[in-house]
Amino acid sequence: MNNIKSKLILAFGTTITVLLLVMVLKSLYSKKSEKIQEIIDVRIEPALEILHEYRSFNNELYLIAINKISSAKNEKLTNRMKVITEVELPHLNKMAFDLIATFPQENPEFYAFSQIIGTTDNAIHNVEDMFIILQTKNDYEKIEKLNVSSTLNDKIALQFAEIDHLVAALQLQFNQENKSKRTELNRQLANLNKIIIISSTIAILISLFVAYKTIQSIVKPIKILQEGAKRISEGDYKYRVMLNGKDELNELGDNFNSMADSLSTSFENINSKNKELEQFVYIASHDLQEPLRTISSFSKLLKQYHGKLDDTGNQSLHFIAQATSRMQYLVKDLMDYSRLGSDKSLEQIDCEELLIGVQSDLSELIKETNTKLIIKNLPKVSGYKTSLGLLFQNLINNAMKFQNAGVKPIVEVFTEEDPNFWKFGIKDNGIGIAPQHQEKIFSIFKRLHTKKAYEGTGIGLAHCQKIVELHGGTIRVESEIDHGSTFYFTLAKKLLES
Amino acid sequence: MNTNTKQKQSRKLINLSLKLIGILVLLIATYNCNSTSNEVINIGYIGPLSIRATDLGIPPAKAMKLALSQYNKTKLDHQPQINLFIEDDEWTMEKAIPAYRKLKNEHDIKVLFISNTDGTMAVQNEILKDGVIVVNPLNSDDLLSTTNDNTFRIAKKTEEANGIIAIRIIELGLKKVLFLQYPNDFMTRATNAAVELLKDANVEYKVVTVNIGDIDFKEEMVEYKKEGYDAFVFFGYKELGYAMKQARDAGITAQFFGSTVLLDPEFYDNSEGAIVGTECCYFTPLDGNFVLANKFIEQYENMFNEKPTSVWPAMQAYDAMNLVLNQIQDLKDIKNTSLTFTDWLRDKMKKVRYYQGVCGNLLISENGSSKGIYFSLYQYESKGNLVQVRR
Repeated sequence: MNNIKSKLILAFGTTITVLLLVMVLKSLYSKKSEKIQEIIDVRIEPALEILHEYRSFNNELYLIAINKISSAKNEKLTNRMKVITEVELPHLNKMAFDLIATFPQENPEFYAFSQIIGTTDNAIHNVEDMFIILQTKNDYEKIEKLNVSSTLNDKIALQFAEIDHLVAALQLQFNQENKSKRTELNRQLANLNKIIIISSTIAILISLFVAYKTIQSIVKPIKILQEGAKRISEGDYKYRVMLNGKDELNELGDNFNSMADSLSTSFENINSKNKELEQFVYIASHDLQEPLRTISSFSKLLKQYHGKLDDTGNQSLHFIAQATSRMQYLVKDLMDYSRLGSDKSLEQIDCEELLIGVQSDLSELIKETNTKLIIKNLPKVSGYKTSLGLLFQNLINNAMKFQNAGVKPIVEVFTEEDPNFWKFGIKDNGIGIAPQHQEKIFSIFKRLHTKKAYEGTGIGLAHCQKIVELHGGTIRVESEIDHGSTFYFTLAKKLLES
Repeated sequence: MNTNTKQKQSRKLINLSLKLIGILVLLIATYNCNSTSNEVINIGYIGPLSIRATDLGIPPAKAMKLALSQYNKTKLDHQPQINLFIEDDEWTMEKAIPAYRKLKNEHDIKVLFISNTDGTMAVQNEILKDGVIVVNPLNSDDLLSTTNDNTFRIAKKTEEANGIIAIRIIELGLKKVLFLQYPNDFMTRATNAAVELLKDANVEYKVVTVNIGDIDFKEEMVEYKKEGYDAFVFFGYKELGYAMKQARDAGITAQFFGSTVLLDPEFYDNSEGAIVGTECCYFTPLDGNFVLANKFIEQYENMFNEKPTSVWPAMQAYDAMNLVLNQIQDLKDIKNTSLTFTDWLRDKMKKVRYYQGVCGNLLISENGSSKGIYFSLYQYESKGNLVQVRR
């Protein structure tokens, strides 16, 4: 199968085909049951119903006839007799006639029913004749009429006996047939039930298997692609997905690999350019140090000529010395920036221990500014020790430095929970940063204040950002003017060595 | 094949499927629309709505309206709409033909219900020529059995019903009977049926035909008293109520008998109560399908805020109309035949072998008459009330 659509069509097609097969199978077996049911519905039950009606109407009519001949005071029976002889029994005869029209003529039941119909007709005529003869009570006083009626009554008795006998025999026969057909029907239905259960189970299993295979063939490549995307997002640019086949997902896998190739190449290019740039910065800053040292040495040497130069000369010499010194700091910071990450060996770092070291390095400033440094439970993290030390040092140093005069700095280092990152915060009660500057402060050599107000080269937070990025994290600040700042940074928990 | 081409193909496939579904829905809708019948069948009824025997005309007209409203309310889409148009014949043969022509010309009726026996006979030629099916929902007597093939009688048998009176007279041992008979075919046949039985039983009888509209029988009653009759049989309409009163005023104490029309309220009023105790042949829900009949009377009362003044004509008319509607509702079957509406309906009516109606289980025989409605003997108990005579 070349594409997902075809797979889905195949899956649905297979399921539908299996269901159709089950239906066909069920239909085949149902036909047998339906045939038996049809015999019961069309032949046996109507016959039994008709026979039952024959029996009850004929018995009632016989009783009416007996009552009629025995007493002149039973004239109210006339209407009932008419209902039976003019409507009910003719209707029954018609029903019986229609029923046996479906029977083969050589069938004994056909003959028996025909006899019942014929005898019933004769009995009806005899009863009607009797009612005509014995219409009024005066008729009962006429011997001739009584004799004729008596003869009719004998005939009627014989006819009803014959009908009763025939009906009873047929009822027995149809009841037996009914019983045997119903047993057969029950057996067929039980078989049909078994077939439905078995075939449905097989159909469900086949459908489940087809559905599983189809889902697998779609989900498996998606999972591989998902894993690939995750690995690449984590920086594993060498990772490639391996998918077999020719469907859309395999095509997507190939495109994914092509994209990863492009990404890897671009990344390598950027890395290479970065390295070149860092090398350039390093070389430039290193090489710049030499002429700076020369300028510095000669400017110091020129100080020996103090008194030989006029005021302008002396002031110019002072400016040269100051600029050179500042240039030296800048170049040194630049070199440090370019060196960040060069100590690329990951290790487990106990941040609390690391902070003790930082605290020791900054002890003089802490003492000088009377800073209260609060360090809460800090975790052990995987990272580059020197860089992380520098990160904490810069942030704590800034927290102490950017402070209003006369205010005791309070600096708090804490962590917060996050499933994928170590999240740190460094909070101070300093001068705060205006919202419009909060994005800019991480740019290299960016200064918000004059050198006179707060010393520094303006590269510290650029350092911090680079270190955090080196650890797969991000850095941001939340701050309000005169209400202090909190620097948040994250470090990836699963850091891969770059 | 690139992704765009595949997407285009998928869109084409979806569009095609939607179009196919649309066409299918349209076809189904069209089929359903086609299966809705626009056929309208008009039915006419001619009966006595004024002047005389209104108890034989007004309740049947209302019963037929009830049957028709039930049919039209519950009919399926493919079944025809049926309308009923009613004309008054004032219980005279002369008005039957004009009433029929009016119904035919104005409404092109396909089926006519008519109660009057003479009227039924009068319209025979015209209905045969026009191909109209006629149903008499009141009487089924020997005269009507000579009607043409388009005529059906879904009603009691006149001779049989009135024979009950003669049998009762014989049963009571009454020896001398006077018949006061209205001069129309129905009452003549009723009298003849009774007389035939009385003859066989050697009962002395006299038949006096009254003039239409006569209300003064005082002198005659004095004579009849002298003649010493054991029984008086009033086979006529409301005018004979005066005769009953005048008979009692003349001191006649003989048993009174009547026909099926005693429950006309004016009959009682004219007799000033002398009608009480009169025995007659009648039909009530007790004689038919008691459950269905009571339901019918309840529905009748709900629709018209009154009970039928005379119940049997209403019950017979209700059954007759429903039996016809039962056939017409299958009108779509006519498309499978080459028959005209008249031939198709006639054939269907003749094949009714069992119809469960309020009057009982009915059967239509080959000659178009029904079987299954059998009258019993009742006695007039109080105004508008009869009780069955227990014998």
